[in-house]
Amino acid sequence: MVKLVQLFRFKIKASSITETMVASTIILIVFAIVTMSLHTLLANRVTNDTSLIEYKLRKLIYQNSFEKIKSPISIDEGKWTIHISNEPQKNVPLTVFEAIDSSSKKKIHKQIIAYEN
Amino acid sequence: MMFLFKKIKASTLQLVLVVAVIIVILLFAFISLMYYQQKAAIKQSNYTENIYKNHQVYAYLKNVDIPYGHTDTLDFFTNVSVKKKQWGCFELLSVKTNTNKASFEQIALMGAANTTKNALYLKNNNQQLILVGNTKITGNTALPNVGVNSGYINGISYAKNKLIYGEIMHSESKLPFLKNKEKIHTFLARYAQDSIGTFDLEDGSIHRQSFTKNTLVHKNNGPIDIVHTNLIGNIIIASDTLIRVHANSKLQDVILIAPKIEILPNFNGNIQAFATEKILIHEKSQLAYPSALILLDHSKKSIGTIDISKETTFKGVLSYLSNSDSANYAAQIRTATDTEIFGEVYCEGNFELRGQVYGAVYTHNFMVNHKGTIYINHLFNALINSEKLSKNYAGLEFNTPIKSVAKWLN
Repeated sequence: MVKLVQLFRFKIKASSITETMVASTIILIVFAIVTMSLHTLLANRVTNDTSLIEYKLRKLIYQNSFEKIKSPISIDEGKWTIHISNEPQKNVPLTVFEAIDSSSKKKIHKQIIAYEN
Repeated sequence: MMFLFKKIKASTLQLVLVVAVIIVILLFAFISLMYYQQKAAIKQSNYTENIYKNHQVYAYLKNVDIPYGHTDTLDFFTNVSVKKKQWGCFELLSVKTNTNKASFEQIALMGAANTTKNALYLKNNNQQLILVGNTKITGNTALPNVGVNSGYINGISYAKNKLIYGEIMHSESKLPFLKNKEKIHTFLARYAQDSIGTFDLEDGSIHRQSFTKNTLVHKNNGPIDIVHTNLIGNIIIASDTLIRVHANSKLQDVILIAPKIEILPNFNGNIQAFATEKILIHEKSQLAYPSALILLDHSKKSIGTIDISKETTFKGVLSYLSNSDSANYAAQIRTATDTEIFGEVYCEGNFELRGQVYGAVYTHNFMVNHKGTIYINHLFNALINSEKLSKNYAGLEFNTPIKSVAKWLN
């Protein structure tokens, strides 16, 4: 024990009960604030993350460009639903890809010009 | 009340405060890490979105024609600015897309897409096309009403048992209308009026000009010799007499304008040459895609010639353009044996084809000069094959409105 104390080279003096209580309250509050803010940040990040569905959309767009998808079609992808439809405008063949989140009603909309080569 | 004023020896409290400060610092570091990560992710997604949009704009512009100059509004697209100008035989299209402050620009040479797969269009001149020797024509052809037959040159007969390996249609008394012709004329008349910079051409110098910047022009009265010089990009060399390109020079995407243009043996590069009297490509040269050799003959007697010497490979557009109807017995385009042409030949005159064309030929007449004798509308040991041309080839513009990217530039 003596060696250990010498190793750290400082000693904590025993403190009064008031001090200990104040100290533990402060440390509890600090920890609580930190946990809460981290939780909100991470939760926000997870719910707002659309990278997976965007990746899926990109994959579908790529498949569509090689005519591997027969549109119009709806695809279920977890909580997302993807609608693919042909909506030509002004003689330009447009294919619309739309992903809708069923719970948050969030929408990702992509419009593709798909000329046949 | 007294204890408030009494000094307390803070030992645990001090330690707790130190710990709290460390934790707050860690928390702050973590939050800022997440913030910057998010920022980077947004930037990255903007960037990919931009590139994606850029490709979409190109897909759109392949089918839709826009006027020359600046265009800021396109149907279906927002925050896009497009610049279009003529670059020799091709159109130069620069598309800049913006998404949330991020921008992405791409420049491409555009030509008309090759959709027809025609191998040969011979003007209806009421003469039979005669095939001799090892000639082979593969692909769809448009021939005079009197058709095609086999024949003899110097005792050599036609070696194959079928005449045309493809469909035969009737041609008209005019070649298909070439939209590029007028565009080339306006380009040659106007290039000097565009915003340009000038530069001096010295032997051994290197010039590289991006297509996002102004065109560099070197204009000279008298012959120009391009020796040991690297010219890359947005550069025009013009002379009022002759331009001679030596093999030790490196030219890429450059335009040459002169009455006479000569490419010396073993040259390797990518040029667009516009002449009025003579274009001569010496042997063993390699002209990469998309090159163009255009002879605009203003003379009444059709005396201009394009000469391609043996063992040369040419990829791109080869054309002889003339307004005169006077027929003579000289070949206006001559390609020697063992020459390979990948692309299109458009000849408003006589075409002596002794090598191979992988692509399409449009001509008024064929001719063969064998040992001093001239044979009209003969093909001797020639090969035309439209099926071997890449389907991504972009070149001369006829009636097809569909364009395609010939080359991405920077």
